[in-house]
Amino acid sequence: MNQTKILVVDDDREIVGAIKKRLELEGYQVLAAYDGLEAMDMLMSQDVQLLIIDVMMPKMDGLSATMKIRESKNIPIIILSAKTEESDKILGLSMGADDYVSKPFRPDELVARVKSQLRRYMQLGSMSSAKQSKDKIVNGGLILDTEGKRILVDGEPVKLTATEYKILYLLMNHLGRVFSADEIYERVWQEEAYATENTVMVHIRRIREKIEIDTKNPKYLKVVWGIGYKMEKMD
Amino acid sequence: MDTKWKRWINTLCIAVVLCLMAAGGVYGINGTNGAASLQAGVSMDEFQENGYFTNLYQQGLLFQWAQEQGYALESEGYQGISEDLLSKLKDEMALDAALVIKPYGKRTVQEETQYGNQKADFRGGNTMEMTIARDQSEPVNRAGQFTQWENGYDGEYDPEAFYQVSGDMMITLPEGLLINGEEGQRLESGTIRIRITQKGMDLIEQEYKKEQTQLIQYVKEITVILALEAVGCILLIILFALQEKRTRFFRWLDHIWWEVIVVAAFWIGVGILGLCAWTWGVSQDYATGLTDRTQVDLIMMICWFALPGLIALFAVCIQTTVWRIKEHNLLDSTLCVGYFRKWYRNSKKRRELEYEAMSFEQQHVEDRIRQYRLGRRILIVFIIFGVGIMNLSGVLGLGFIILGAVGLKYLVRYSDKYAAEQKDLNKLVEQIDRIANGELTATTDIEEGTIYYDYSQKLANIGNGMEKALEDQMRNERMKIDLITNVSHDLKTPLTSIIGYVDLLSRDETLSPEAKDYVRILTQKTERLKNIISDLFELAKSTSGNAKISMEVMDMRRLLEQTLVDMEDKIEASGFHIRFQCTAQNTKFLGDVNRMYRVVQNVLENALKYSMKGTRIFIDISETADRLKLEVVNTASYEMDFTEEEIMERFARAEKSRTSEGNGLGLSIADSFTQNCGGKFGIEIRGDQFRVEISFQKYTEKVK
Repeated sequence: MNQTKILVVDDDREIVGAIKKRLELEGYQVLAAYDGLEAMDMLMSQDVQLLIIDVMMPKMDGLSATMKIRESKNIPIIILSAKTEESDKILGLSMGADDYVSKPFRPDELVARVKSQLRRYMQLGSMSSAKQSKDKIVNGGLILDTEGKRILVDGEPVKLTATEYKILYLLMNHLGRVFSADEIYERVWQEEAYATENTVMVHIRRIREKIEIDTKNPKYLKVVWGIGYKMEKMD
Repeated sequence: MDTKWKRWINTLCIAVVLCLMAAGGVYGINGTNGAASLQAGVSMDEFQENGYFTNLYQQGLLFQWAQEQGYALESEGYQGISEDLLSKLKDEMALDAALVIKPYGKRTVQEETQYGNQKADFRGGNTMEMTIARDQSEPVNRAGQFTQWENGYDGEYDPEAFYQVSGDMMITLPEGLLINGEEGQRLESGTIRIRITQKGMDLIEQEYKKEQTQLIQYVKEITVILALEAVGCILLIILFALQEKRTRFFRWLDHIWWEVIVVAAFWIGVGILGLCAWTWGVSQDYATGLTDRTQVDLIMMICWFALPGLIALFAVCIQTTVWRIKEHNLLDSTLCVGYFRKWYRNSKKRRELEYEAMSFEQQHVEDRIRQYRLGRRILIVFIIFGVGIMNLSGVLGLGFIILGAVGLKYLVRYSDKYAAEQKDLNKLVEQIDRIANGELTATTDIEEGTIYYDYSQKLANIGNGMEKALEDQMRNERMKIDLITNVSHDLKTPLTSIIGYVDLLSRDETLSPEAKDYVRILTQKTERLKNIISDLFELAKSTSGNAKISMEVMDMRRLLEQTLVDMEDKIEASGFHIRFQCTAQNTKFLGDVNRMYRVVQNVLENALKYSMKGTRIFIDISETADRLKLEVVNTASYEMDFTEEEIMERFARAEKSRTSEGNGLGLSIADSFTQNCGGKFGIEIRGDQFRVEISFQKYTEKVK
């Protein structure tokens, strides 16, 4: 575990320093680079398991670097950016990044994301065959085990109640589709929905607490405000 | 009264009138027939004075005798006389005949006959005498038969042509008396005397008088019936006009050209009158003995049956005419007038349509150009007229020609100028249209020096100015966005470092308790700074008008429910009770889901932050005809010594002096986001009551 190498790239040395220190406290070995080209060199020479890279940098920006790296490596990449637009996020993820953290961020959050990405990366190697399995529904770091009625979040099993499982089963079978609270109620409880908003919402919240790193800014189970809920489709 | 009833009564009335008219017609024909069959009908007063009728009855006696003798056929010889009267008169008349008869091939026989009442008193009576002698010039064969008659009667020869009759020649002789093929004999010569008494003549006179009164009666009846028929026609017209609905059965009639109807009605009328005339004629024939009674009866029967039908047909013609008048299309329904009127109307309509199809400017131009064209034509007519009257008056003609030519010259010049100007005006209008459609730098090729040139140039200047202003504005907008982005980056980068190092500091166990407390404060404040910066840029972005929003159909009630559950922790921690109520049926509206969540969240957070302990927060969703309204009402925990406007200012704080977790941007963001989504955001302060009202146009299938 202590052998895990993380490369942090940002043109702001102080930020790199803070992140480096924080991750070292968590027991990782951290390398630092200050522009895209340097990061590329580092990646070539060192065996890095995870990359944290800033977008706005001299010489080669984070997005271009991400694209370049993806040509040869499939290590998890977390993008750091001062931009908060939804479109920037989508752009970053489509370039091949695995996660996106906007500045300013809480160091705890970054650590959680790093852990989550590493867990997934490690698990994926051994569980790559899981995707084909019939009794498993996979979405990004989520693996719904239909046999064991449980969910693996980045490889870590999480216990679910029967209702929570049913809701997740419904949403994960229809990735990207928005379900209204009434619809979820009718499908899961098999009863006609009447003033059920709270019931469903409470369950959704609990599920979110179990599967999301940041419940205020969920990655998988999203609320479509004033409409319903959906499970975001992940690669 | 019920319309249906009215219709029924109308129909009933029409039927009754028709029946009465038909009955009247039949009765009238009867009267005609009766009148015609009277002797009085065929005679005149002077006939009676000359003893015409007396002679007729005397002749009747002759034929009666001749029949008995076998000299005449049974039906022969009673023309125009009443057989009843004749039998009555038998006692008042006497006949003496002295005849020399020549049976063929035998010797002549002398025959004396007396018939009737010889003893009657013939004083004052009338005596009719005639002497008959064979025409000696007619050749006779050996048997004594007329050579020309040898082969019997062949219709060409009238027996009377072989005899010379002298005396009272008013009467016809029975043919059998003269030449009798059956008996094989002929008359050689003879004298016939027929006498009638005074009494007999009086009887005839009486009969004649009686018939005359009857004739007058008949004529009166016919007149009355004719008048009644006319009244019936008028009644029918009125009744038809009162009809409210044309029966579909008769509808097709209205499409027949009216001329056809008129001709039909005319011929039907002619038919009715013809029937009357026919019966009259036949009756007269009967009266004069040319027809017998059975034929008259047959014809009468035909008339009785045909007449009601004809009257009904006539009524139908009246009806369709009345309806045409009522619907004001009598003339239209005719062939000659209607066709031309329709043609005229259609062409007029076409011209109007063409006129309407043109734009306003075109219409205006069209009017003027037409006026000029008319003027030119009038002047040309002037010239032609001038040439025409040159023969009559050279000076006047020349005057007209000069007037026309000069007028035409000027008019042509003006109309050409007008047309050219109009062309330029069209270009100008086109330029305006192009500018209005967004092509701000549109120019025209209007020539310099013409009246619209300046306007076109000015318009082009306006367009260019607008284009430049727009470009400037867009550049400014871009700069603003760039500035926001750059400042955002410049602020966020150092803040990230601060947060990172403060976090590291907080993990340092070696710090003194005092220093740990400082670090805790630093952590809190950096967190707040982070939130403020984030809010600030969100607000800046949304008010710059450059924010990307994606509108979706949202449900206000659901949004509130979701947000309330989402904020459950905070609400519970605050200890406030929230009363949520929704009276609206349709809670759908169009909005950006993420922004609307922020709006509701900010408003609720604001209420939670600044409410007085122990009070309740009221949330109410209601609707008007086309708007959806969300109200959040709370009681402030402090005196709100500011106005609605002040609190809406971006950095205004609910309470100026107090330090709290809020940053004062919440309501501004809510306001800005609501406006981004097309809604209205309002604040009302009434005493300690703080009320936020957000309203949206309701979404229905029609509003998109």
